[in-house]
Amino acid sequence: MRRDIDWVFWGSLILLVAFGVAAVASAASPLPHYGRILSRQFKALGVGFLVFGLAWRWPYPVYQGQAKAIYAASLALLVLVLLVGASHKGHRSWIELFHVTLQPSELARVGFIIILADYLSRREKTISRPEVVGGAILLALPVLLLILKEPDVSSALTFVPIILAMLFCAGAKLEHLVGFLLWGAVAGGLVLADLFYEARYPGGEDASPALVFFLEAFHRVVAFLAFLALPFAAAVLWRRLAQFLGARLPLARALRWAAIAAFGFLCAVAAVHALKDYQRRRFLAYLSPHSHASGAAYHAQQSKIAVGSGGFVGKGFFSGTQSRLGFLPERHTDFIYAVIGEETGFVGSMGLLALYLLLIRRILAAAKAAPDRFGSLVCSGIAAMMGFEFLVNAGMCVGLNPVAGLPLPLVSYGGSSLLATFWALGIVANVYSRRLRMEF
Amino acid sequence: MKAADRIETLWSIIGLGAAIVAIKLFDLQVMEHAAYWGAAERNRVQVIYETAPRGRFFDRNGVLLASNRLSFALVYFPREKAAETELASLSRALARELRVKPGDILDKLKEAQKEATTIRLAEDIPLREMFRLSELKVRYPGLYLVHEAQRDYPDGSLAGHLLGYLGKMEPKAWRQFKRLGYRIDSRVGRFGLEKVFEDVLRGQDGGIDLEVDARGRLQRILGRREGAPGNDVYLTIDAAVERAASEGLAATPTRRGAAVAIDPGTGALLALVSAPEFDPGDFLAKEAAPGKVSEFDRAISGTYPPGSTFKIVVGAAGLNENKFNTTDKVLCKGSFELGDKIFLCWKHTGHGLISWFRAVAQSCDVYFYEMGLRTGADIIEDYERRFGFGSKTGVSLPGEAAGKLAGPDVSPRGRGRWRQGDTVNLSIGQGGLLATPLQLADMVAAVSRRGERWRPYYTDRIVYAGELGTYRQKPHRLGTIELKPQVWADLETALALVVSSGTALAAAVPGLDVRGKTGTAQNPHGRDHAWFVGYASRPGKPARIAVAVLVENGGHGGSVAAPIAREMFKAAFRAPAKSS
Repeated sequence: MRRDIDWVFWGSLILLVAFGVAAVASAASPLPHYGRILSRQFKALGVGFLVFGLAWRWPYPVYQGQAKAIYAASLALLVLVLLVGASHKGHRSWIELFHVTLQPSELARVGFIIILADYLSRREKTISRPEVVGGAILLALPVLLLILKEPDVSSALTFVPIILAMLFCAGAKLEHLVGFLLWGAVAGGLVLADLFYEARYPGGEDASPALVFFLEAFHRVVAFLAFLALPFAAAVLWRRLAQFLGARLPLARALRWAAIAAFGFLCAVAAVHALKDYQRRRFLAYLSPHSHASGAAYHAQQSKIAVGSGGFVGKGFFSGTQSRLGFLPERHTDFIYAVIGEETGFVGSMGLLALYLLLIRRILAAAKAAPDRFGSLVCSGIAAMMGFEFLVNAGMCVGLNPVAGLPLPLVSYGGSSLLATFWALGIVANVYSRRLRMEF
Repeated sequence: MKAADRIETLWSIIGLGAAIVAIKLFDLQVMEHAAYWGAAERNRVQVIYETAPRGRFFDRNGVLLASNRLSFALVYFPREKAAETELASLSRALARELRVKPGDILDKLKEAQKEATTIRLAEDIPLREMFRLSELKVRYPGLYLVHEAQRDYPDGSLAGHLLGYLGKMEPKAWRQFKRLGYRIDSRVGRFGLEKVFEDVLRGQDGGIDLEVDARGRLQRILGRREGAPGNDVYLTIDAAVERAASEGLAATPTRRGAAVAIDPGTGALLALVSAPEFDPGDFLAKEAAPGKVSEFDRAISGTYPPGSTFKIVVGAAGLNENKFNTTDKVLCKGSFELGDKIFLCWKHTGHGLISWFRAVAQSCDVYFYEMGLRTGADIIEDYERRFGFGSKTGVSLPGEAAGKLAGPDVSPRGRGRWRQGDTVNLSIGQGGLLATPLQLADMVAAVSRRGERWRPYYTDRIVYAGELGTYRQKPHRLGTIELKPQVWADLETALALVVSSGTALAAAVPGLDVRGKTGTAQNPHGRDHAWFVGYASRPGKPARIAVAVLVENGGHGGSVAAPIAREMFKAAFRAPAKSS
């Protein structure tokens, strides 16, 4: 028995894959191309295990040396998909090559984790500076913009927790991360407010005048100028407050926060204009689920019904009525967790959740035991990626967050996601195995 | 913070997220499971309902008043890949049986096949056609016969107003009914006892459960769900008495009127007829909008001047208050003068010198003009109230009228105030006094039992399915009209004379003691209304039936109303029909 193998990690990985195969086999069985779906999934699994084995034996420091090449390759793939990619439901996210369909954004995500880990590991001394944090974001920007161009917002969104987690684990100052979060909160909050306003007052009339002005003002330069004035107002207030308290509250910090908020506002304006109709509908469905009986809200509601009707032990594999009779959308891909909830009940869905937590725990164990910063950061990034993808997907299926087109890693049907995940987990296995070599 | 601590913090954040998901899972799958299970079932199960038999109505002797008849609907369940030729041959066979064009049927079948939905090919199929269709069923899988109970009223219009009718729900009521599990095409009691007993009579519909997919296409038949019939209601009505009254009224010249029969010992209604009666079956047609049907129940909602039947009350008042006695004589010359007004007796030649018993028997008006004046309107008005005039009897039927009192107390002051002439009119039941046939039956029932008053009711028992057992309605004693025993005796003797030698000879039944009083009420709507109120008993026994019969514009009570009462008495004392 090899001592460089983390048996818990391997065990939970294999159980997850087995769970996934069973769930996909059950969910896809009423579909017309059932045989093809199964064979493709098994082929992808075969290739996935091959990739996993290769990555496991491949010394991970090599990635660090080739970080620039990986970056270039990622960008090239993302540009390529925009040029020659196949379009499906309005997304240009797939490259078709010899009957193999590849989703570059899945691979680019893992590639980006490697790149960011390389970038951060080289800046151990300067990590507390804000420009390093800014640099990390700038590094992500081209990748994100290319993915948003497809457009695949859900996929792009997964980069945010990865960047945050990796910066955090690399030792970035909390203040910088909070600033980043503030920016995100302002940008995201305003977009949500705009959508909420649209949901509440579809015609745009009958709203309170202040709200109308504020939200209509998105389109006006004058509103932007007003927002620029905010930092000054904040600064004045801040000084008064400091005098009043007699405390040392540096003005520069107040200005920084205000500037971050203003930048967030700008981004929100851009986002509101860039949002596609279907994305608006998804958010609207989430904000007011009962007003949109069909469409996105219908899917979210049917998913909850599927999960809830499963009960404690579920209806049994191949027996979920919600999935088999087509009430559940995207049952073998994005909504596979709802199928698991329906067919295996609370026991099964909690079991899957426990397996994920076990796997992530072992990835983080590898991060802690990694021989160098690069390896540790790669593992942290992969843990954040797995964790976020699982939480968002499961949260969507149980109605905690809006519908997002994210697969459940290792479980959902889909080759690219499987390959990327196996690659990432192979790297983790390699990092873990190197720990032993270094110790002895 | 060291690197290891930061990794642990990242772990905590992921763990927190997982905990939230776990709590939500617990909420959905354990706490709210039942609701979501129900939602999933509603998603996938579609039911072809089979209307359950509604509870039946029986009379007191078990004679069926309202029942159900089995009818069939032909349903087609499309099967996967039924061949075109098979559909064509099926449509030809069906067209022959159902007498429609084969093309129409084929179109329907093809549509069902394409959409994978079930269709109803025919409804309310008679029994003999059903047998031929069930042969087809064997040859062509996919055909189904679902049976549905249709309301049936075996005696047509008998007790129509009492039983009421079924109909579709009003759009406004639908919301409420939906909560109780009714379907949009369910029929509910809309009038009469069908409405009063809706929740008792209603059965649990059965049906065939079908599994459908998200697009509503049939997947398979899950099974049959058993229905349960509603609960049977036994009424206090005696179908024989009801029929006698109904037929009697139908044979009168105007065919309009009402008849009420009460068991004076309990208040149980033996008959409640409003003529002309409607047939509740007419409302069952698919697109029901039967011609103009009067829902107006003359027996409980119609108010009429009581005419000479009121002389019972005037006599009771005067005798009981010692305003006159049975030996006092009055000279009837055919008319009565009060100041410059002249009031006529119905017998213009006059009754001559007349005392109590002959005056009641002959219904002499002049005698009662005189005795009414002696008694005084105040006292008469008091006795109106004692005998139940002016207030509802309390029978639990919607639309009961209270009638109208007459007397100085309820009259306006000043102009139009009560005058002596009004007292004269009141003495023979004319003027402002109005009463329903039910009130008069109630009044004469009280007389028959020496003042016992019972609240009229119609429910004998409700037989619930299963272990719930039987509910029996208890009679409700309202009180007693206190008169001196001698007064009751004088009233009884006088009312017996009315039948044996007076105006109501036509009410007499050999072998029974029949007592009563006729009335011929003038009214502003044409001919006089004919009244008879009375009661009957076996000789020496307490009265078993008290009736009030009204024929609108029928003329003389003695010749028009009394014979109807006679038939009702006969029916009541005939040996009860074998219960079916």
